[in-house]
Amino acid sequence: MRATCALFLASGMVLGGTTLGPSASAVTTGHGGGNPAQAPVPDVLGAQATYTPPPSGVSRVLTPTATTTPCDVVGTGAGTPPAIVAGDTSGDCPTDLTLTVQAGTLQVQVPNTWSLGEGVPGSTLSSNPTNPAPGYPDGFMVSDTRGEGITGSDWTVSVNLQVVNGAAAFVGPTESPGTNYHLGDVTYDPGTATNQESPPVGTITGPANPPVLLPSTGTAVEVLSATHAPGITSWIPTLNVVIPPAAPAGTYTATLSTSVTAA
Amino acid sequence: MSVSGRGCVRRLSGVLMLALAAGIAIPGASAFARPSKGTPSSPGAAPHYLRFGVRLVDTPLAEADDPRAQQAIIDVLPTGSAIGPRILIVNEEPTAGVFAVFPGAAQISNGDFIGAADGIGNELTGWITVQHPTVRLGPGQSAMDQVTIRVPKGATKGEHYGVIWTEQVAPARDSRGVAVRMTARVGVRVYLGVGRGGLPPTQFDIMSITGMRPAPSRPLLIVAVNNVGGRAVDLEGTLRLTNGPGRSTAGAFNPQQMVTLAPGQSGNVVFALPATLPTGPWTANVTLQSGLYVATAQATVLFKPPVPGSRTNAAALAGAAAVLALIAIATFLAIRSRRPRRALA
Repeated sequence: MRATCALFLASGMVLGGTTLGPSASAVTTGHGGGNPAQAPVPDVLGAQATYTPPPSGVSRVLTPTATTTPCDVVGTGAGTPPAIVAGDTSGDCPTDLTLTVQAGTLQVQVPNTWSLGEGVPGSTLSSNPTNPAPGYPDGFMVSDTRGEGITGSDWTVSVNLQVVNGAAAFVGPTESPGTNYHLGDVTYDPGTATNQESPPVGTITGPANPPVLLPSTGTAVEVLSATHAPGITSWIPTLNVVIPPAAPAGTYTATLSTSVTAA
Repeated sequence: MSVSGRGCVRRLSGVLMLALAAGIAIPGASAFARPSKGTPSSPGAAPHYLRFGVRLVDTPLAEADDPRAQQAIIDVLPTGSAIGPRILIVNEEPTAGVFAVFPGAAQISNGDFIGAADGIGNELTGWITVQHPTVRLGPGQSAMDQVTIRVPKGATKGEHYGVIWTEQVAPARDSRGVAVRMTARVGVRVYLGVGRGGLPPTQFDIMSITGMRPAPSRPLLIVAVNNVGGRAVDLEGTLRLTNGPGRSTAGAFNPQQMVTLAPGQSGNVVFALPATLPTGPWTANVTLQSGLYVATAQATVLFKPPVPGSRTNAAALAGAAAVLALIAIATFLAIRSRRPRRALA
C-alpha cells in the first residue's frame, strides 16, 4: 500500500478532492482497517498541520464516588436499587464496583410479528412491517433516555437471521416438516431513521449501499449507527426475500433479530 | 457458577428483597443451559410490540469518570479475579414479558463493534455467568440482574470483547406465506483487558485529514486514525471549519458514525457536510475523543469535485502497475531458472 501511494504521488495524479498543506507527501494512508460503509479515501492525502497529543499517560481522572465495606450492600434511597460498592480481597466476590447514578435506559421496540405476504416462485417479495396495535408508533424504534451528558447517547443497531438447519434463511414449507427448503437471499433496508426530538438531534447513519444482504451464516450486520441521538429514533425497514423458481408452495418462516448496543 | 461469601449472600438477599418488593418473579438460574436457543416466548394473545430497556448500573471505581464506562463494561483484570456489574431490565410493554440474559461473543472489525451470531462464544463468554438467565416482568416492571466475570488462571492476555444480551422473543403465530418471527435484543458491550501491571495506555493518532466532494454526494472530510494504544477506542468528535471564503466558519459537525478500533487497527472517521458548503480553502479543526482521551488536529482542506479524467489516469496507472508487476515476476522466474538445481539422489 505504501508503494502504491508513492507511485500515485510521483505521477501527480489527483483523485477526488484535494488537501492542502505542507506535508502532503509525507503522509501515508491508514485506512487498511477502515470502515467499508464510508467513502474511500483518496490516495493523495492531506496535511497534518498541527497535532497536539494529550500528556502521555494522563487519560483519566479517578474520583471514587462511594466507599463501604467489602462486597457489601447499601441502600441508595427510595426508588433506586441497592448498590454494590468497594473492593473485596476474598477472591470470591466481585471487586471494585461503584454505583453509577443515572436514570433511563436504552430501549428497543420492534413489532412482534411481520408477515411479508405471499409471493410467486421466481420473484422477490418485499414488505414493510405494519402497525400491529393502535396507539403505537409505526415501525422499529430505539429510545435512549440514559442522558446524553452522561453517555453521549450513541448506539448502533444490527440485524441478523438466526440459523435454522444449517443456514440463516426463510425455511419451509411448514406444512411439510421434512422438506426444509431454504428460500433465497434476504436483504434489509432500514430506510430513513428519524429522531423524534423537536428539532431532531444527533447523526443517524444507515448503510452506504442499502439494502444490505443478511449473511446466510447468521452473522449480524450493522444497519444503523447513531451519535448524540437521545430520545426516540424510529425507522420503517424493508425486507426483501428472493423466492427461487423451484420453491415448493407453502408457508416459510425465519427469525429476525434486531440488536441494539450502546456505543 | 454461583457467587459465594458473606457479602455476596447479603447482596443476593438485597436483590431478592428488591425483587419481592417490586412484585417481580425471578426464576432460578439452574435450568437455563443455553438461553438464546431456548428463550421462552413472551406471552401475548394480541399483536403488539416487543419493547424493553436495559442499562448498565455499576461502573469500576477506576473508570468512574470515563463516559464509556457508564454504558459498557470496561475493565482490566488480572487472572484469578472477578467483577460483578449489574444491569437493569425494564419491561415497557402493557403485558408481561419474559427476557433471556446471556453473554455473546463480539469482534471489532471495519470500524464496527459487532456481536457475533447467536450461539457463538469466545474465550470471554466462557468466563461470564449471569445470576438470572431468565427474567419475567409484569407490565412496566423492572429488575436487576448480576453479571459475574471471573477471569481464570491461564486466560489469554490482552483485550477481549463480548456483549451481555437481554433478549425477548415474540411468540410463534399462525401465518401464511412468508413470515418473520421477531426477536429483540439490547446489549451491554464488554471490553475486558487481561493482564497485570496497571492499565494499558489508551492512545490513538490522527494520521491525516482529507477533504473531498464525491459527486453527487455531499462533501466529506475524512480523518484517518491509528489506534496505537493497548485498549480499544470508540471514536467520536467534532469538526469545525474556519478561515473559509470571506473569513466564514462552519460547524460544529458530528461524524457520520462512531468508529471503534481495536489496538493496532486503523480506520476512518467521516464527517458528512452540507452540500452547499463552498469549496474553500478551509481550516479544518478536528477533535476526536474516546472516553477521556482527546486528540486534536488541524489542516487546510479543499472540497473540490472529482477531477474529470482522473478515472482515466487511474486506469492507465493501474495498467502500468500491472505491466511492472509482470516484468518483476518474469525477472524473478528467469533468475530462479538460472539457479543450480540440487541433483536428485
